[in-house]
Amino acid sequence: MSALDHLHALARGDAPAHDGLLANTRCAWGRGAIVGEEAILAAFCQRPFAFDGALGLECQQSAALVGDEDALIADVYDGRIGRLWRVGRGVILPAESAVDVAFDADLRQQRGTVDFRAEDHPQLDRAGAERLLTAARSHVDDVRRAGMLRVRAFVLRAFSASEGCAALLAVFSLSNETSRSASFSYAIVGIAGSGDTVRLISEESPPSIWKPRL
Amino acid sequence: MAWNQDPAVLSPVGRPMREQLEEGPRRQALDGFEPVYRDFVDYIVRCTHRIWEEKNVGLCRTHYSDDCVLHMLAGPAAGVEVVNQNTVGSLTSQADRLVMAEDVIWSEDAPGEFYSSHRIISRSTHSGDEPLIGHATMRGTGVSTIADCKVIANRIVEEWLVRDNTTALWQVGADPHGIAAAGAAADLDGDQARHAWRSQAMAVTRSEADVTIEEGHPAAPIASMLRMAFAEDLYGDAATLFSPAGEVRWPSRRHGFGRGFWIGCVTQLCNGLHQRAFRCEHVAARPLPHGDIAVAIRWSLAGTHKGTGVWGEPSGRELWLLAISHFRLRGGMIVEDMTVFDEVAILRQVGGGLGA
Repeated sequence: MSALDHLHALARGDAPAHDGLLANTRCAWGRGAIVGEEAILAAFCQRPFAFDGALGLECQQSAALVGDEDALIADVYDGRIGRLWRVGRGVILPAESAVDVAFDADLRQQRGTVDFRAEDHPQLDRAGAERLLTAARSHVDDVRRAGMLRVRAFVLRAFSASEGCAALLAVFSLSNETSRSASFSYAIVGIAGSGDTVRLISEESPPSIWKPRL
Repeated sequence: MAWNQDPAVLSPVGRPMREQLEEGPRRQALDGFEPVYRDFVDYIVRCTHRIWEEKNVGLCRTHYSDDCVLHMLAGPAAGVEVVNQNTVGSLTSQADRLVMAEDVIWSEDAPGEFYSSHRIISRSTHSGDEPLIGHATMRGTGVSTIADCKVIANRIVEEWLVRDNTTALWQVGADPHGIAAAGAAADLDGDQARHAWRSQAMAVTRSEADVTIEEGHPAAPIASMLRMAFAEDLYGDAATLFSPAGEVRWPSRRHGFGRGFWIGCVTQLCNGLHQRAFRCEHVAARPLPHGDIAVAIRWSLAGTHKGTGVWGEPSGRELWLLAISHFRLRGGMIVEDMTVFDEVAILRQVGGGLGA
């Protein structure tokens, strides 16, 4: 069975066979994370997602399933899921207490919008990189136009497959208000073929209280 | 030893538990270790499984030396019977605890003297009463711990244990400030000599040199990065070893991406601690799947709490911080930093606890 088979099983709320979901998998979902095969399976049972017509992509080290309203992307080891991100509807994790970190997303005056290093993604080819970066920049621009002072995307995972390419983005945004609110959210991009179909599933960034202290 | 010797000894990363617990022949010379252990990683993973999940806690007596010392930021524990009883206590309050290895980064520092840096994510239900938090809450918990162990002939002789206790307390609805304050108040009672370990630890951090790292070791540039940041305040130069989209996971649920976020985490500590000293105490590295490299660094900070910030208003106290970081290197740059330290123990120091 392939990692994509395991993602389909999980999306239905079924346990992936043959240790297809490693016991210590960490699944980012909304603003929190679910750790461990048992807890992840329970969460997917509560919130399965419809993947009819979803774009499925897989290479040796990654797999992605990008539907109309939900998307999954995974780190893969020998066909097994070792780390997972779920983006889209059905977030079930409440915001958790955390220490916020004040930081400068740029470290320079020349403002970039998408932080990306090709060497981080050995299974991404040049054409896939160009398509994904175009989609990421477009998403950043969309978010910025919604009333943000600053939006930066970090390309955390990206890969090419025979059917297309996919990427996971972490998107930092700072609102353009008197009192600014900051947030991170994830987005998953799936591009079929040579760019005919581009799907980008993103999360709402829920407002949170900024608390850079214990 | 070379950091990548014994390539047949695999990291747990990407391997199912079923495969990790398969019994079979030795894959590595392990003098004095029980025959069941196939290699040093297997020793760490399997003995943890036998003690915590199979509930054979008494195996602590054959896996720790009689005079073992556990170093924690809330104070050391000594002796195998203390280890044994503490484990019974933890299993009573969290009976269904799963102790899942995220990685074991190890070295053989002298012939037969092994050192492991074991990153654990635990899952459990807070189903029993305990002295620190009180009555069972039945809440689910899952907390990051890194246990560094020096092991000789099947026995842990010294351990450095760091745990994200703030997150652990948040998960069960407890207040880290209240727990820290209660600990600090209790610390003021009785013989203060029992807290001498902390001033000794701070003196070591301030006076002793970094551990020697052989040329070409993957940890060398990262240790330099940490020193550049914590001791020289050259945060921007230090962060150039980070991938621009690297992931940062620090205690108390600090989680973000990129060089700027890493700098933000570092400066939270540096802002609080003035007259700061940094020491790199131990390093190890091992190959990971897909050509990545895992690096473990145990490090400490000492400083005077003079800055308003993450730990509140300045207390003027001398503080000590023990941390262990696991990094994932890809193509020569850091793509993940998973750092753990006990921030409740820092609040306890801020509140006047753990000795003068």
